[in-house]
Amino acid sequence: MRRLWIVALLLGLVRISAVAAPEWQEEWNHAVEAYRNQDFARAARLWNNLRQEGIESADLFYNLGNAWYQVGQKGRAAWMYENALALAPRHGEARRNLALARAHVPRNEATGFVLFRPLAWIFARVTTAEWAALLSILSLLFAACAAWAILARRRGWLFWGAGLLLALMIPVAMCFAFRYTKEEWRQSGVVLRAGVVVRNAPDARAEAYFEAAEGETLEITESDIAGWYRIKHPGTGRTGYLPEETLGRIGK
Amino acid sequence: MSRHSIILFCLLAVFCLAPPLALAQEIEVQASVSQENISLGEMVEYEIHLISNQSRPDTRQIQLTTPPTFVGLRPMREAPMVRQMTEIVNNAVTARVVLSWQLLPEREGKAVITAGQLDYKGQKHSLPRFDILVKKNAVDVLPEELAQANILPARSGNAQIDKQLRGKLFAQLHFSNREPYLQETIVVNCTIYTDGFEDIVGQVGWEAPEWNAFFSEEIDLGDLRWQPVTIGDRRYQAVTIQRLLLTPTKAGKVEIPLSAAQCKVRVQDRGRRSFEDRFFNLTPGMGSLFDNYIDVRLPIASQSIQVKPLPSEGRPPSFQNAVGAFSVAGSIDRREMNQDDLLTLRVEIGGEGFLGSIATPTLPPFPDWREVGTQSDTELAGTAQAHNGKKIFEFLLRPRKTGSLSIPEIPYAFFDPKEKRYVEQVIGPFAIDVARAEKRDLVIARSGESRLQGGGPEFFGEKLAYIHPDPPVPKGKPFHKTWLFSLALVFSLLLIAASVTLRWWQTYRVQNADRFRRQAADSEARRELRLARKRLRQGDSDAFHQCLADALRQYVALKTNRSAAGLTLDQVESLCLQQGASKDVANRLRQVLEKSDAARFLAASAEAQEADLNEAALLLKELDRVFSAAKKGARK
Repeated sequence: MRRLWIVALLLGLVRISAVAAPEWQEEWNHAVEAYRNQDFARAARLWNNLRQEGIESADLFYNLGNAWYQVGQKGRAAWMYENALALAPRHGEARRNLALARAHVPRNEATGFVLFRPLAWIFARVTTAEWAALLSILSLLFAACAAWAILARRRGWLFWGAGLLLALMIPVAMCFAFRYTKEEWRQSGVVLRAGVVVRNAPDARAEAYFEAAEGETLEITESDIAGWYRIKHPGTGRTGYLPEETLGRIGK
Repeated sequence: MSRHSIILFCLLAVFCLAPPLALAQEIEVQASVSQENISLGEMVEYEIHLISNQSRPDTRQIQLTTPPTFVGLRPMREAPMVRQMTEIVNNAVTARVVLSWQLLPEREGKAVITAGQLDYKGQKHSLPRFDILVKKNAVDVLPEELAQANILPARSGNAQIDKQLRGKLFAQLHFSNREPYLQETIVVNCTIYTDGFEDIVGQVGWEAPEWNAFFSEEIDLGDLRWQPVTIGDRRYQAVTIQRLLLTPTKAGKVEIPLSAAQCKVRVQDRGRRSFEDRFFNLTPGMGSLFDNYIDVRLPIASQSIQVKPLPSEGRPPSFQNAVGAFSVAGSIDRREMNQDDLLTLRVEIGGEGFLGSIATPTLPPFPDWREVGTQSDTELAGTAQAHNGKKIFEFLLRPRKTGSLSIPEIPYAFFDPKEKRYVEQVIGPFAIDVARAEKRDLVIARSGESRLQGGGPEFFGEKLAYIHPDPPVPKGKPFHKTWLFSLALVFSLLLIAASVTLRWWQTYRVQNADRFRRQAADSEARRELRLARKRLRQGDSDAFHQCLADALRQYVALKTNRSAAGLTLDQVESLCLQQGASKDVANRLRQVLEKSDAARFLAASAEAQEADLNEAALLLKELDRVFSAAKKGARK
């Protein structure tokens, strides 16, 4: 009798989720259909509606990026691919399409020291939540191992195990902290259209510094400046101001 | 005479006459003064050049038959200095002997170097007269062009040196155009002028003002080069230290604030020797042993330029604020195409002018085409990066139908500031044949594949990974923002803390086992008494006496760190006496223990057992008092 209750409860939950889904699933299917029929503008509009409703999904961002790419809006496409990669860093297709969308952007980013590249590669493909999960597991294992080593009589190998876990835990904690900091505090954005001019002051009449390439990623160093962002070019280090509507923020 | 005799005669004539002819050297004589307009304290150089394009003039043969006299000028030395130079220009040798006098003005007013005559190997050459105007201050002798330019005096922090530098070292800004149009590029040179302080050493620079109303770009000038410049009737040495291209971004009067050039100059320390003394000035241009090097700021006065707005008359509708001497060109990448393909319309706009003013051309409405994308690129030319080159715009167009389609004319206008008028250039029209696309079935490809069969290009010749058609499953909060993550970390820390605490407690207990055993004696004895009372209620006489005996014996054993197992009655009694118990207490304890041993063989009544229990409880209280007193005594 008790088992029957549990099964009924689970079925009820499934039923609730199945009823709740169609509201946006229908719109999703329409967008997919429009994309298949090469009506990319409509597909983009529908997926963008879902995005604006607050649905956060790597696949949604990725599909929207594809639709925008197909209508020639490479900047917006790159923005969406970046958002997809922020949620799912191992989304290979988003990464590949992002490279296509950025094919025209000059590459001037520092490549870094050769030995750090594999680490950077790994770091770029693991989410904050995954780093956090790994850190939790390692910390629990370390705590258990250390506690056992402290309390047990024969504890030689336990101490070595705890040391090894600690050695693993420290870089993982650093990766998590760095990633979390980057995600929470360091904002960046993608230039949404071509011919965007970076200026020396938050004013449309201010001196033009340089032209940002469509789809290029820029660091946001200050926001909420009366409709402007203060940005920094990651490759050249040059700073300036961009109107908010020309830059799509990655993440939040 | 035969022909041979005539040739022989000619050769003899050449041999005989050549040396005297060679000796008749052609000499050119020139006289000059370095300045004809000087100030008091300023030196003027009077030089007589004897120039020959054959051999060097013999200085012993030079005679000033009528030497020039100096009226109002004092020569620093009586005899002229003699320099000999040889120049080779285009394989032609020019030898030169220079006689020079360095003259200092004696008073304000007019000074004269009179005409004279020079004799060289019997040839007489006349020397002209020079009139020199001597003024009181260096600023007074500035040419009118510079005097009007509001020149600010150099600042070195030393009033005496500032006085030396006044009017002789200054900086100026030169604008190629002081009334440019909006977004018209102008050139600004920052130039240092000097008259006598060419030995600028160290880093020269210009603290340029903030160009708030301009787009600025610096031009690399390479090595600095001094060049003689004549302004009015004075000669200066000038060097341009910085060159900028400025593009005004707002119309109206724009103030260029005060700025300053900086340099380090060599000045003579007049406090240590005579200014005229050239004894230590060993090598010209290398300075002397008593020279000073000082940092000098050369302020440049604020000035204004008037930026004219672009004229509204004749402004074509296609004008998008481009200003410069540009040209516009357009092309398409194909003339024949399928309906599925994309056409690239390339528009190139370039030339001389501010490239930032070239905006993406606005295409007129194309009914037959759909614009699907735009990209732009900039090709730079020359050193002036933002002001010379071209912008390339590529429009991606998809045909809406098949057949012979055309792209109509695309006008693009710009304002040419040199011509002072708007220029409109037109691209196109272009004709394109669009064929019907081959029918291809659309399939839903798996991710990573093209959606067209045969892996054909999906867009622009690039393979775009296909969309994910399945709706995503909504995900909750990321793990690191849930309480589970915090719990895991806190639990780990607590686990380690707890294990460390437990370990410490274990060690402490082992290290203080006796103390803990003594502390445990009382509680152990009372536990045994409670057990005995329970057994008494149950009517288990044997168990009751066993508990009673254990309570008392264990108490004494734990308090005295002995094993309760082997303690005899005599040992218990003697231990109590050793701890300071009275004989009465020791006897009563012994009696209770003996009764307990005897009761196992002869059962006592319930009242007697109750009395023994009470006695035991009483004894424990008294023993506790005795052992506490003994412990205190031991501490003292």
